[in-house]
Amino acid sequence: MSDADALPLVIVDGHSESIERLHDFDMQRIESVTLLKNASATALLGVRAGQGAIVIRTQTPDPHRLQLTYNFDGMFQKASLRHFDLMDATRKLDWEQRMGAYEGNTALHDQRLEDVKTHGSTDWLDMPVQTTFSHRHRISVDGGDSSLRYRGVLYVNPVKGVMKGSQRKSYGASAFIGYTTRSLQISNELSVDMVDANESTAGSIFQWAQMNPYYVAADGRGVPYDILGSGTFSEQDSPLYEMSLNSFAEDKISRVNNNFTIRWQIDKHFSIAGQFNLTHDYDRRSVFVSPSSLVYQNYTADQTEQIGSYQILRNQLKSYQERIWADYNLTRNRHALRASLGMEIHSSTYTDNSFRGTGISSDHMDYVSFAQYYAEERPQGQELSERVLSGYGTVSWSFDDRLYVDLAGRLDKSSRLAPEKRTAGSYGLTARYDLRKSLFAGSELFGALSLSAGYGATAGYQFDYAAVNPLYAYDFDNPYLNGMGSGDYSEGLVALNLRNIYNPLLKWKTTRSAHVAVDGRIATVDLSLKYYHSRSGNLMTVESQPSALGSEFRYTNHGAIRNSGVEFSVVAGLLRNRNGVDLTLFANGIANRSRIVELPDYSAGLYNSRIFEQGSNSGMVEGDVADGIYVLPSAGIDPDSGRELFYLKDGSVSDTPQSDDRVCMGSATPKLRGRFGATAAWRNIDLAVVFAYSLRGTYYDLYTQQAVDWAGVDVNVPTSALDKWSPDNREAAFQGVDNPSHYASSRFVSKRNTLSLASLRVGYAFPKRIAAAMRMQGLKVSLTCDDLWYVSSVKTPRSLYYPYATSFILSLQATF
Amino acid sequence: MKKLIYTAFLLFTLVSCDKWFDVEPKGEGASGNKLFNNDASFRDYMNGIYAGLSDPDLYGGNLTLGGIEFLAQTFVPYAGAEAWTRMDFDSDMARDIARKSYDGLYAAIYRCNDLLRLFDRNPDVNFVAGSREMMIAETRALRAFLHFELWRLFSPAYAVDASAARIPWVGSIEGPDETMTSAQLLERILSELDSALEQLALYDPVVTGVGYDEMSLLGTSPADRLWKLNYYAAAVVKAQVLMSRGATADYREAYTLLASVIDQGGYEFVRTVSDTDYSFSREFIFALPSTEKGFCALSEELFDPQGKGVVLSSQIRIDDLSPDDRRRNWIDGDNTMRTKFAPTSKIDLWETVPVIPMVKLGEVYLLAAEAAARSEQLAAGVSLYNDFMTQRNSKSMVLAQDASQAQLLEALDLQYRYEFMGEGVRYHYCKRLNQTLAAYDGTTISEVGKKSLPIVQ
Repeated sequence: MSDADALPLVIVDGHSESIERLHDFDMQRIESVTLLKNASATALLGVRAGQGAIVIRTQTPDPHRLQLTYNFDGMFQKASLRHFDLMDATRKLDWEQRMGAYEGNTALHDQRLEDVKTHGSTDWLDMPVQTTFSHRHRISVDGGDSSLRYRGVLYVNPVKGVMKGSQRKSYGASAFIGYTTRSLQISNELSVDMVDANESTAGSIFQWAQMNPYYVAADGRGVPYDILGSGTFSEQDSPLYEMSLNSFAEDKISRVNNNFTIRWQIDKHFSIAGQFNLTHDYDRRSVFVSPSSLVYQNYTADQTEQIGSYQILRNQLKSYQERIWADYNLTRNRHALRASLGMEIHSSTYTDNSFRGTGISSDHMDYVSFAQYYAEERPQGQELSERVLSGYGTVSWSFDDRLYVDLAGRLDKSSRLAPEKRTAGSYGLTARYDLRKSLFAGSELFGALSLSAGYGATAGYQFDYAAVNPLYAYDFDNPYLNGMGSGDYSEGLVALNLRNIYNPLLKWKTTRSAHVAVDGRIATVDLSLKYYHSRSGNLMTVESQPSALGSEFRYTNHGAIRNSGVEFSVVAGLLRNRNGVDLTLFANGIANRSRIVELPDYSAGLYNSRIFEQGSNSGMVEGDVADGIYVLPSAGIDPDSGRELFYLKDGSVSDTPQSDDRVCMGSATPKLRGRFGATAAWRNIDLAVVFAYSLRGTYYDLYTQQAVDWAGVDVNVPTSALDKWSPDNREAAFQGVDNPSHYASSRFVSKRNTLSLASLRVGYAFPKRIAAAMRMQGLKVSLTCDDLWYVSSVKTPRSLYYPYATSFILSLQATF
Repeated sequence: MKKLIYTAFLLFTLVSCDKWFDVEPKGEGASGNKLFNNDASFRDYMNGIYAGLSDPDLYGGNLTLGGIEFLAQTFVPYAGAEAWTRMDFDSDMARDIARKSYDGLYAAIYRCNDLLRLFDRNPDVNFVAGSREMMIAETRALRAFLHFELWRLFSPAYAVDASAARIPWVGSIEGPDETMTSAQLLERILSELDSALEQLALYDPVVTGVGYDEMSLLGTSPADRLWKLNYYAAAVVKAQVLMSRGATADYREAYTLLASVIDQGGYEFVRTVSDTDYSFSREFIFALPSTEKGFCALSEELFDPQGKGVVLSSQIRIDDLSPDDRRRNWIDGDNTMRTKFAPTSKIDLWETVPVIPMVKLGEVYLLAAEAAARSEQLAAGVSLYNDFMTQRNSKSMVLAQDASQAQLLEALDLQYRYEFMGEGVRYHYCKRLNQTLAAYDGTTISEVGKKSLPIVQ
């Protein structure tokens, strides 16, 4: 099964944008964000929303006199390096000795111990991280009257990352202008955004965790050593040395978007509207690897032309979208009807290409023109296009303000579907009935009660072009091209080859979902409860076929996954302006169950054996959960060899298991997850606390496996490595230091519960008179803390690559 | 208002034609939709099919020198190849060869079908007049030949069991694979070859003597047709199919066909042994280019005493050939056959590779002589055999003009051991006649016609 394009569609004010743009989105512009998951909701967006959709609406300026707003955010960020639990130098040396690393060479041990006494233990983990302060500024000018509205925004947002050298500076401007007459509304917004980003060259935090603490990182002048413990069993390349070089990876991104809308109100029932959107994103990435880098340490004198590297990667996304639709609405007696019919064209082209220069002789020659040669590999490039023509329609009918019915349908013809199955349909139907009017009209207790239900089917992309179209490529190595013999026979015959296996009849995936929900309000408590059930069918699979048909397998549409679950939300307004205090408590949660309902054996076998070879813990078996964690049942560590033993399917114990000896330990998705918290206000002060929780998710502890179970004696380890196998420690919890097996094992699986303080916000609005004294219309300050506190039933670092950061944001908004 | 809707509608209908959706990604290769808009792409794709057949899993090894030839008991097998050589087709090596050749030949059939589909789908492409017809006919002939190759590898001999249904006919990329008895399959192959031959006779440069436009279709000069299943090669394949059925009428038809190849093909035997062409490539009617270094490297690997150290088996007795026979040059003093497929240039060792013979003149003579002998035209058969021996400089071995059928067939049988050494031809001959063979180690392999490779899925 393919997970091609598992990303949701991003819709901003009616047009789609690349998901990369979300990363740098100007948060102040956002009015609302909606996440659409149900097929009945995504049906209107069609095949491109097959993986769900994020719908963002931005604010449009209200008519008022010219107003200038200034926003300031100051952000502190601090890396969270908890739970690495590493050994210090003395303990590590002691452990190495117990593991027999110094047998016959106690002098090295004594020498190292001596060094530690002189220089102390080195804390490598602290070196690549930094506590940062970043500040963001934004100025917006807006205003207008009933016919003309305008807005201009300028912002700059330089953010430093908690890994040293990592930063992302975004800046940009946008201009909105809208013109309204009695029957015509026209608006245009142009925005230009730039991003300059630098990636840290410090590498992964895990790499630093593995550095031995008995090494001194730099000499007296602060110059880092390059190779530590050279020639010993624990020789290590210093990431600090690597970080001190001039190597870099930077991105220069520019993005332009223009959105034009027009609406013509023909009469009071009928209007026609159009939207035209143009987007152009460009990213130029440069990656410089210094010739002094340790990756070249083993290059010989005749390989100097390959030393040092400067790579340029460019990618570009151009897209346009046009949409025309007509709206009709009618209210008669107790009936209200709204209908809309539209067409949409979307076309986008993504190109990227890259080349690399080598043969750079100095660390400071950090530009591509200093390279003396092209790299050995060929230049790379690709161009991908998507063209979609769609027609859609919606009908909404309500009766007596108590029954609401919405019907939506859409047809998409897309270049990304198989040439012989190119038009995909989606539809959705939802209905809501207001019970309060019928049952509790006039009741004080029941503020609201409604029942709703929906059903829908949305098509979705699931494969690449090559899965449904033949691809032919020239074979540059064939003898026909190179010419055979001489004299009589021609040279230079070119051979084309068919390169892929494809199925032009492959269909899109179809997700059908149904839901029922109850929403109500009892006194000051809002309640909602929803049950949903969805089935993604026609998922792409691989099946075997007689090889007489040209290949051993073919692509088919025979996979299906089912998801069902319950979502709830409670919002209780405990205090309403009592002594000036407002207090609201809230909690929400979702419990989801998934199941692979159809999966051909051939697909499962192919996927599972490949995953097994990689040593990964994912897998797929018909009847199991969709995101199951698959491991080998551990039979403990062999007291004789120090390698792990496993229970095989037939009940025997072995250290050479096969793919189908693995078992599913449960879903990685928690049984229940959600948020709870409180918002409060008192006079000019407001407060919000949000906790996030997750319960009973199956968790695979990769850190302990990689950092402890697989660790050799040559790298630093967490203190739990004391329980690694050695001839003296035969009843061990972890494998020995030599030649451990690298299978996904049940020893690292547990059910995990987590709780975190996701966000804490305190705000204060200055009284008008104080603001006025500063010539302002208003002044607000707030402090927001993200990821302040986290607790988990499994104690491991939250990230092994880029450290998790806690941030404190001080915001100030002044309106003039 | 009406105007606006009309304009909007027009805008959409303008772009809604299918071509707008035919955008293909670049970078991974080109898709068929745009690529096959000129005749050269068709030619190139065809080249690709032939180049694929040179793979070591197919004619670059397993189906010739590296595999099937061992079944002819020409060589003493290297360690590990003994069971295969004794035709134990359950052995690992046999199963490996069987699986790779079955998959590989059917993959080639798939490409033939794909090419035919592309011809069908792109009727508007401009071809040099006649070349389209030639290419379609050639592709159909090649598809028939590949089915025939599969049949003779994986089915029992026709004489043993004509009703066995092992090899399905696959006539399109979507399938289905039509299961057929041997009798039905050969009938189908023959009718395909018939219609292909009809077209090739009209359009193949090897017959017309005129090549197609060199600018657009490189490699269509008459001499270049060697690399393709040309008219004469297809005619020989048809004769092979007919002789596999073995009715007297089949032999008679085969004889007529083969005689016409001899008369009209203009092919000649080599007259001197050149030290750059040990394998006598001038006599080839249809050959495949070896992959770079491929065939020489395989020969060297087999016969090098430091490599697999294969030597000729005791079934090969050099004295079966007269002292002046040109083929003695293939055999080396150390009882190997290193020279036949040695590099064709001493200067640029390994870079000048001999080609892989698929159909050659010697086989035409031997098949024709046999077909004549088995269709009451004995005198013609004896003459053909005698011509052949004279051309091979083995005049001492010619038969008397009144030789019996048995004498002629025995003499032909002997020639099959030597004429095709390393080419993987003799095994198919023995199997067709359901012979009992003396194996390399002196044991007997009885009823070769009953043995067929397993279909390993």
